[in-house]
Amino acid sequence: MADADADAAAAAATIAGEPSSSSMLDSLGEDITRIVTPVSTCMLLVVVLVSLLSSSSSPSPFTVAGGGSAGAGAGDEITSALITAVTFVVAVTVATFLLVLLFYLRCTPCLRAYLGFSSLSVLLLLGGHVALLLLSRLRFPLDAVSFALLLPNAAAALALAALSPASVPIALHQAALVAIAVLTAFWFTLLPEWTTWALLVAMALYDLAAVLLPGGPLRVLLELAIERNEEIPALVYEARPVDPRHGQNWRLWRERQQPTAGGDFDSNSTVEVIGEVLGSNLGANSAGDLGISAFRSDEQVDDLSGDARNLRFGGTSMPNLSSDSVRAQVEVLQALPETRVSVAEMRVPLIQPQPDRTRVEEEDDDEDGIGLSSSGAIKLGLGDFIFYSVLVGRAAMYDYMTVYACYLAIIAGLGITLLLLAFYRKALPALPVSIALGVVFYVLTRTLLETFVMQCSTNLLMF
Amino acid sequence: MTVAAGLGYALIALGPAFSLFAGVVARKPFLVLTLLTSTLFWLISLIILSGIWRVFLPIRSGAWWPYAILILTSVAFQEGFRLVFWRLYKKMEEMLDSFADRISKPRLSLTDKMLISLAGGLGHGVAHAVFFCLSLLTPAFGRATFYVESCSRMPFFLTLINLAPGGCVIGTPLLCFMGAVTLHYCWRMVWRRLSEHQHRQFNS
Repeated sequence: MADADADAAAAAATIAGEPSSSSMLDSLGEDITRIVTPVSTCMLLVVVLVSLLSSSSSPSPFTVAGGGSAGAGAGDEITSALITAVTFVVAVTVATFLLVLLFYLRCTPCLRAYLGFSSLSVLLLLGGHVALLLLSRLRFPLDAVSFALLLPNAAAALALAALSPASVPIALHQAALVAIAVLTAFWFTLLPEWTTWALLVAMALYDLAAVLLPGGPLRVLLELAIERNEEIPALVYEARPVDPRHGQNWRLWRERQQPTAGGDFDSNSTVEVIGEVLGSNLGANSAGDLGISAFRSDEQVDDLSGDARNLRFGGTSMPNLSSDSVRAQVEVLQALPETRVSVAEMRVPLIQPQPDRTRVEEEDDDEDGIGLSSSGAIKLGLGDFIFYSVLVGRAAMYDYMTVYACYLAIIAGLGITLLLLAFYRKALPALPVSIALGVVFYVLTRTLLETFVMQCSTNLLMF
Repeated sequence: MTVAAGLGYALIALGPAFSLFAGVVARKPFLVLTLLTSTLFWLISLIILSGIWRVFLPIRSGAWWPYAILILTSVAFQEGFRLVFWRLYKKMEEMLDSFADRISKPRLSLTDKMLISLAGGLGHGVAHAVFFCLSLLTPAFGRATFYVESCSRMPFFLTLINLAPGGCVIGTPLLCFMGAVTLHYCWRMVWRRLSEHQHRQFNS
């Protein structure tokens, strides 16, 4: 868009006037930090909620459903857990295919209405439940009338903020998304223990299959979206800066960009460097690949590479299902370089955003996906938030040492996934690596580390 | 232990780390990532160590020599792991320098390198404090505090703050002293390096 370009030029001009920072250490890795912070916040809130309301004895519908369908769930815990997990994954698959069908029929209002309904129900029902539990636990004096007034208002406001980021301040939008994730994750931790673990592993495997296998629903959805050049409505957390300093530019973050073949935004050569550093071979793949066409636009890089290739990855966020059936899936969205909006020389995003052919919709559904939006910020689907927090919340029910270990494992998994993203330049699922590491660390900590540390500490041996 | 006391212990353990974090590390996102990485390394080394030692625990004998072996091997292993971490850090430094050249920015200056090392060391320290102190602190909230037989004069958690192996009446002030000496040494080393660097720049 013309005004976008003008804005970009103005932005670049104004920012170029500032004295450049003396070191690249200032801005290196900022993208990753900006996505790690909300993930950490979500996990922290879930841990706080779990430790405050730890005596959870409410039966969850999943146990009942799983036990009912299995018919023999009373006997073996593990069996019922597995059956529940498999049921859940099947339900999620069916719902995903349904969404693919809806998207294929171009029934976007249906999807949007579904999104609104699911987020509102999460905030209202789950939020109300958690609020009631907190009130009774903390003995907070609040009468029923005020509660009945406050809850629907808060729920409606947050739902609106989550669904239409164009009309609310960005901090509120992000906070609403995190609130939805926290509530859903807390609800999942109410499941019995084996069921939770089986569910996590099953969702990680499903994620892996759905994104990488050719027949997987998410891959099909991706194909469709790329073909049509549309975005899929989904709830995705986008790590844009919350900095008011970027005030006049932040509208740019939202605008969808239609990248031209040449790429009208100068990209810094970060990706090239990252790619070479990681030893990957930056080449242009064929456009026939599903979302794996790689072009790179290097305008400044003529002296460096002598090539002007555009790296582009297609990818879209997946439509979200209801809060019951959140899917975990990650894909890589390569978007316009962040430097287009921010300072070209000063910002060094760790993952090079690429021009995205599919226009990224602002309103997103609950969805898991790692990618880069059209504004260049890293996007992470809300389902990822939820399942990470479920793992950490379940670890919190045992002991805090497992919480720290699982937190570090999940963040490491997230980092590894981002690195793999930069290396392979393909759509990758974000859930498997983190969940695998989290489960491994949980098991190791619980069996090995705890006795060791207790032994050492009670004998005053510390190192 | 009351909440106030618990909070006090937690702050003693983590206070300097937190102030360092807020003042230095939080400003640069790369340092935050370095901190998380070094914490993870420490945790991995601790897990491997506990895996090795699991078969011998719990030690029921009252003699002191199993504990001596325990601590010697543990410290040796941890230091070895730290060496690996150091090598990785050197490699990363080279990568960062070449990266900086590519995007035509100044290379890592001395302060940058020191900041990265500071973040790395802080990560190790935070991990130690968290795993050896905080994780034992939080379950102990509630009535009564926790005393250990071998050192029954101070509450358990005050001794935890120090790196005291064995006898605590002498050990605790001794360790405060050792901590002060180490800090002083580090400060002098940093100062010397900085002044050398400045001399070199001045002369060239």
